[in-house]
Amino acid sequence: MKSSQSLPKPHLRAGLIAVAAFGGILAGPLGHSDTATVTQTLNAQLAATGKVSVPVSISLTATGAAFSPYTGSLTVNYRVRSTTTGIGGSITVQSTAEFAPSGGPTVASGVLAYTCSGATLGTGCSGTAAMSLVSATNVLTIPASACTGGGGSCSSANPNTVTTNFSLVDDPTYKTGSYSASITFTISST
Amino acid sequence: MRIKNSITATILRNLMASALLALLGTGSLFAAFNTTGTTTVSVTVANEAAIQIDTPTTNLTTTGAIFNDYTGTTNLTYKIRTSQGTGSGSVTLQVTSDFAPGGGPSVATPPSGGDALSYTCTVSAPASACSGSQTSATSAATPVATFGADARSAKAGNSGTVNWNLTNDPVYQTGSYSGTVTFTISST
Repeated sequence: MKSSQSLPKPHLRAGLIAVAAFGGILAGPLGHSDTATVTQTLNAQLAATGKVSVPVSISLTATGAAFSPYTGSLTVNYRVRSTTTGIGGSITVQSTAEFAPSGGPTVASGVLAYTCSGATLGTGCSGTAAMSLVSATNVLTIPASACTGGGGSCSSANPNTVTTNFSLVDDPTYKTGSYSASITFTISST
Repeated sequence: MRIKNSITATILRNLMASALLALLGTGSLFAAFNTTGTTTVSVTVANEAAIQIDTPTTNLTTTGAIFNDYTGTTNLTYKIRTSQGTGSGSVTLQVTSDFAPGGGPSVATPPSGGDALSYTCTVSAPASACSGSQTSATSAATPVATFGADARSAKAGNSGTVNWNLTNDPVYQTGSYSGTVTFTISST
């Protein structure tokens, strides 16, 4: 009699046993640490890439003697990564909208030209190039294994920059007024 | 033991992935960067004018009958753009240095009444030539050509000439005499 009254009912006994067991695991004897090490390998495939940023607008202005060319400069910001086995990359520019309204300069007549200077990664265009509506023209040549920022084997500058210096013929045949055209820079990398 | 390992592995994996994404995604903080960038190129074309004297020294000579007047021609090239609507322009000349040395002709104080350095003008469009014979002066500019609104020369410029006539007064002492004429072009 006494023995049956001293023991709890079976389901309660099982629960108590489970709690006790769990408590035993959590508490454990003082000073014992239970650690496990899991390792996982992370792979990142960094592909060639490039991005540019340019000012929204640039105004060409007349300086010097009458009918001297209109001039202005624009800084192209860029970040680029090219592979070690690829052929590098480039930044090109193309006029995507002719000067408007009519009566003034036209890109199609070849009067808008540019030079390149001060590239902090890669090589700027050589000599003077005429802006074109029909094809992209070179601004910057990016070598293989190029990378922006961080120094060491990469450039110290971040972003990199190259300056394009524009010159527009001041032809007396232009009517007075304001004229605008659009040009688009494109970066590519392999 | 197995449950703890699974939880730890998941947490570690997520932390590493977040860190990697943060590193790779750094460029996206500069919203303006993209594979292309477009700029608007603008220019304001204003009125302008320029003139070039193609005859650095104009020699006045006399031919024909005795005491025929001295004559000569000065050639010039002008470039001009006047404003649309209400623009205008002009070419003028002024004797800025009278004949020297003294004893010969003079624009400012001719030795005889009626002595004068006068001229006629010939210009190509869009210029309009001065009218008839003009008498040059040291005290004021005199007309050579005028331009209207939206007057635009060729890219290389347009031509003009000034045909001079200097009275051959017997009072002049023999010798060589030189003066300076300054041409001015303007545009609005």
